[in-house]
Parts: sequence; C-alpha cells; structure tokens
Amino acid sequence: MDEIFKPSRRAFLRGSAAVAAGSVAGAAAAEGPEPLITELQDWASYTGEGVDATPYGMPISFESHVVRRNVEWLTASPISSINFTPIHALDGTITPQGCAFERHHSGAIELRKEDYRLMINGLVDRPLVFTYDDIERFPRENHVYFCECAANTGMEWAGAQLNGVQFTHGMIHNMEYTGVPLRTLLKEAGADISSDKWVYVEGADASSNGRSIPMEKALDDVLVAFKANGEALRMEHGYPVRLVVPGWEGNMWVKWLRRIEVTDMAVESREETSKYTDVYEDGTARKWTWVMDAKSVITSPSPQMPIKHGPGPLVISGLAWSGHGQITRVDVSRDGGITWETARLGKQGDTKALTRFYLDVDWDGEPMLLQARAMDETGYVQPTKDQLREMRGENAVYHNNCIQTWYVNAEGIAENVEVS
Amino acid sequence: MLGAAFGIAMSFYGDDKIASLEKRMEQLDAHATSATALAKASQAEAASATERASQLEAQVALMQAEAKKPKSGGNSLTEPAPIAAAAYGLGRPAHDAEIAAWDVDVLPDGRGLPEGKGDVWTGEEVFVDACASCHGDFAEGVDNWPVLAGGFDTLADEDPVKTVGSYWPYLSTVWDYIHRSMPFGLAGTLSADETYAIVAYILYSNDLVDDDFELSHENFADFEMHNTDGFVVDDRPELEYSEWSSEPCMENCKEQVEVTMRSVFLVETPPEGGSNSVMNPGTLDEDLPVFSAGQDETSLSDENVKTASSTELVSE
Repeated sequence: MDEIFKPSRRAFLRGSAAVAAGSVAGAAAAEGPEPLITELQDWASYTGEGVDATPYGMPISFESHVVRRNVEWLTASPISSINFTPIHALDGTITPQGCAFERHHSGAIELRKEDYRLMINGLVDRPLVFTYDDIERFPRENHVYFCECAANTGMEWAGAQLNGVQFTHGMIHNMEYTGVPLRTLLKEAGADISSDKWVYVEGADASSNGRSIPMEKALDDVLVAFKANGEALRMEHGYPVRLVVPGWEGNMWVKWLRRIEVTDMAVESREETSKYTDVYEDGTARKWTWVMDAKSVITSPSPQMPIKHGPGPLVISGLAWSGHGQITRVDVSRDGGITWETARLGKQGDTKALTRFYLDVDWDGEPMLLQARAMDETGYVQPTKDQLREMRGENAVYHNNCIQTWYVNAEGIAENVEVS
Repeated sequence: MLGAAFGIAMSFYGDDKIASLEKRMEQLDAHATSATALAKASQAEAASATERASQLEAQVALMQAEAKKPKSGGNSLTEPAPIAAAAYGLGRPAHDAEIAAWDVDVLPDGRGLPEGKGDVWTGEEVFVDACASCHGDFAEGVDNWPVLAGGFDTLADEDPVKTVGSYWPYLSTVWDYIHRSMPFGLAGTLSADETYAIVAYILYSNDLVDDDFELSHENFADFEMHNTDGFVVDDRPELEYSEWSSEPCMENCKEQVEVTMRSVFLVETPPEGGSNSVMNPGTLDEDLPVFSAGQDETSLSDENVKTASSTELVSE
C-alpha cells in the first residue's frame, strides 16, 4: 500500500497497474466467469473464528495500514510530540478512539480511576475535591465535537510540505463525548462566575499542561468528559477525565484534568504565551487565538488515496468543520478554484463537529486541481492560502485554515501542491 | 443553508400533523353537532365526542407550542443537563495542605511565588546538571529541543527565533513552567531556590542581567521582559471575519490556474507504522495542467460531466 503514495516512476507504474487491474476486473464479465464466484472458496466452506476469539475487537488485518502515524523529525522526542489521524481512510464523521491523533507534552500516563482526584479552588466559596465516582453522579450530557490541534496544517504556511492529508490535516478527531458541564462543577463549588473571571485548568501529567479559559466560555459549553464514543477515554486521550472545549484549539482540552482554579486574570502559562501564540510578519503576535475557524479538506482522492479505478463514477469526499458552529455549505472545485460546485453534506452539520461532504462526479480521466471551501453559520468563508498569508505572513505556525489543493494526474495519483 | 432547509422541513412536518389533527377535530365536531341536532345519538356519545375533541384541541396546542420552539441543533427534544438550585453536595472540602500542594501556578503579577532566591552562578551549576542535556550549556538548545537564549530582533525575520529572552512576555511564566514541568522526566523536583537560580541563569544567558544578579521573590516583580508588549489579543473578528464573509465566487473566479509549488516531501507509510519523508523528485518542469476560465462554461453541470475538457495539458 505504501508505495502508491509516491508519484515516483515506480509509483506511477504501480498506479497504472492498479488502473489496469481495475479495468480487468471491470471487463471480467466479458472474459468469462470469475473463479471467486464459480469455485467454492475456503471461507464459504470452512468455519470461521468463534465468539470471544478477540474479547475486544480490532480492525481486520487487511486494514492494518489505517493507523495513526508520526513524522519523527518534526519533534525532539516522541514523549513530547504529535501523531496524525488517518483521515484519508475514514468515512462518516466519528473518529474511532484507536486511531485518533495523540499530542503529549510529557507522554501519556496511566492514571487509575481510584487514584483520580479533581480539585476546584481559587475564587470559590467551597474548595472541593472530587473522586471519579463523584463526577459520574452529576447530570451529564452527550455531544459530538471536533478536537483540532492549533498547529494542524501548520507546516503548510511555508508552502506544500508533506504529501498526505493524514499529515497536512490529521491533527484532528471527532468524537461523541459524555461529560458533566463545567458550569455544574463551578456552581457546586460556589465559584465567582462574574464575566471578568477566568478558569485555569491543568492536567495531572508531568507537563502539568495548564490553560486559562475566560468565564463566558467556561459557563457555555465546556464539558468535563469521561467517555468518548460510548466507552472510557483512551489513556492517550486523558483517561479517566479530560476537558472538552468545543470549537477551541486542542491544547486547551486538558487531559488527565486534575485542577480547576477560578482566577481574576489569565495565568499566562507557557502554553498560552511561548506556544499557541501566532507571530505575524512584523514580529508582533496574536494571543488568545482560541477559536478554530472554518476549514475543510478533501480526504479522497488525496495523495494517500489515489484514484485506482480509472475514468467513470468517482466519489470526491472530505471533511469540514468550524469552531464557530455549524457547517452550512461546502463548495468543491476541480479546476483549482476557477469554478465551484456545491457539495452534498453527508448529514446536517452538528455544531463544532466534523461534517462529511460528497461530490459525486463522472471523471473523464483528465487531470484535476481539487479544492474544498467551507462556509459556516456565521457566513464565514474559508480563505485561500494567499488570503491568509497576506493577512498574517508565513510565521504564524498555528491556525492555518487555508484551502488545500490536490493535483490529481491522469493516472489518478494525487499530490499536495500550491496553485496560482 | 441545509440547516435552514432541515428546520423548515421539520416545521412542515409539524404543520402537517397539526393540520391533520385539526381536520380530525372538525370531523368530530361535526359529528357531535349533527348528533345533537338530530337528537339521535345518546347524550353519553355526544359527551364523549366533545371530550375527545377537547383532548385533541389540547394536543394541537401542545404541538403548536412545540413547533414554535427553536430548532437549534435539530434536537428539539434534548435538554441541557439540569443544575440543582442548591449544590448537589458531592465531593468533599479540599484541605489546605492539598491546595498548597497542587495550587502552585504563578500569575504575571507574581502572586503565587514562594519565598526564595538564587543567583546566576548557582543557576549555572543547576542548569548544567538538570537542563543542559536538552537545552545546551548556554541555553542554545540541542537538536530539536527548545533554544532558550538569544534571537532578539528576529521575530520579524523569515525564521523567528522565539526564546525566553526574545519572545516570552512574562517572567512568571518562566518560573512557573520550570518549577512545575521541568526538568523533562523529573518534573516537580526543583526547589524554589533552585528555580530562582535557573531563571537567573537563563536571564543571564540572554544578556538581560549581569553575572552578579540574584533573583528573589522580592525583586521578581521589578523585572521587565523584552517582549511584554509584543502581543495583541486575538483580532481576527475585526480584521478577518468581516473580510472573509461575503458570498463566494462560483464561476470564472480566476482567469487561469497553474501549479506554483509541489510537495517538498513525499511520505512513505510503511506497514510497521510511522512514516518516512523523502524529497519529492517532481519539479514544476514536468507536464502539469493549466486550467483556464471560460473555455467551457457549462462543463461543470451534472449533465455534462466532461468538466475537465476545459483542461489542457501543457507540454514543454
């Protein structure tokens, strides 16, 4: 599977072979009956595995390439690093926990529910300590939200860099969370919830990652979550309890949440000053850039998902999301932005959650420059790379929500490019 | 747009149901009226019909009220989790010693700093021992680990060097982060005095203090960082949102489009996991498509899927 991502000569040959094989399969009817059908197959004769062969099921071996992957040279150590969700190979909107990207600052820790404590202190009437069991006794809610690292697509500020949507856009996942609204816990402690107050949250791991959240957001939709996609959080996502800060950058979604402090000013922690601030062309930087603006990307075809079937019916598919609310529309261009067609949404977009879009076309086998452009409920239109660069320069690192371009050649091989 | 359509569909559904209920009510009303007029039905039957009609009336009122509710999120039957008027009484009071153990963050104005002090020379010793393996003896950074010193006046360069000296706006952040989260792999083991000393040494390696400098909780607040005024609060709403919120172009949006840059790296994804980045041998000299506007205006309709016929391959 791996070679086809390289549009090298070998890859081209392989791509052509795949196309040829597709044609053969398509022509099978004319050439004669297929043994797959006419001959008795092992799986249709012998018995398969019994129940409980795998008490917790894993994807079938044929799908073993659909995994998170890191890019080693991006960071100094895998302990303080990031990997990428294989969004090229997923469909629908929910990200399975097992392949949802990880970002650790001091590694993923094993913290038992029995050892879990959550403290609320600061400007509160009653500083409190909760156990895990306490958390599960508060009224809870279910919501699907995307979590996107502010650095997603950050490499691309400097131009087309990594050839694969997993690597350009894979610092994102989308899960259904079960959790207690933060406002419920703040009320329980008798917190000062006046609008000029802040909520400082920190994790139990060695990095003690801490972020300051303005009270308005804390009272709005922030969740203290303990389940994702119906089951316990994975270790790498903050088991047993993490914060969910809908629509806001992933760094604020503190994992292994251990403390909530009500303060009268932002703490200005390391993660909200030296990191997760966006440097502009003149050297000044924006801070408190919390919201993830509307963004979309075509996941297939893409460099890791070449067109193997040749000309004919083709499903162009992708993801769109906005930290400001619902995705209302996604347009797709096949000619690098000259002409746009409105795509079909897989289902009505949930607020601050991934939305799947499709454009079903009849591909004539000619090259394409594929782009997607999202709009959200505020009327915001996803900007081009040029628009972003004109506004911010190339050194912002974070919050790159540009329109992405894939060049698809006549063989169906796709490559990350920039266009005029 | 689709959301609005969905909302409308939902209210149509509600309207339909209300209409059919109203019709049913009319029928029952008519039945009741005729029954009374002709005096053929028993009193009980008429009463029961009237009762049924008023039940339906109540049901219609309910449905109309439901239909008037906002359909945000399309989940009109969901409710936020309730919050009790009084506290739930869950959890237990935090002990002072517990708060002291965990609440150690330091605010920009210095609140939260413990008493203590440390000088540059002590700081150098501790730094070389605890920090230099990643950050270098002179805070210059090893491999991909962060550079802590220098980089002044590079923030507007093509590759800004963001160090404690050149970029970090508050000294409190430096103290707080080192004390809580460093050294990497042994977080939380530095004493207050050691932390003051390390911070003093980092300031020294940034040429911000002399070698006889001693940092303490008493002179901490006096220290002003180089880039304190280098930050503005998120101004995307003013600068960007209004700019990028007009109805987007759908046709003839550009004269011509060509590829200006190809992916720097190709990424191999081996079966064992991870990835290997290799330089992309592809260049802009190869045959790459150039798309032009107006060659085939109708080409993108569903009826004529030969859209890319407006494409021409330019051979060189």
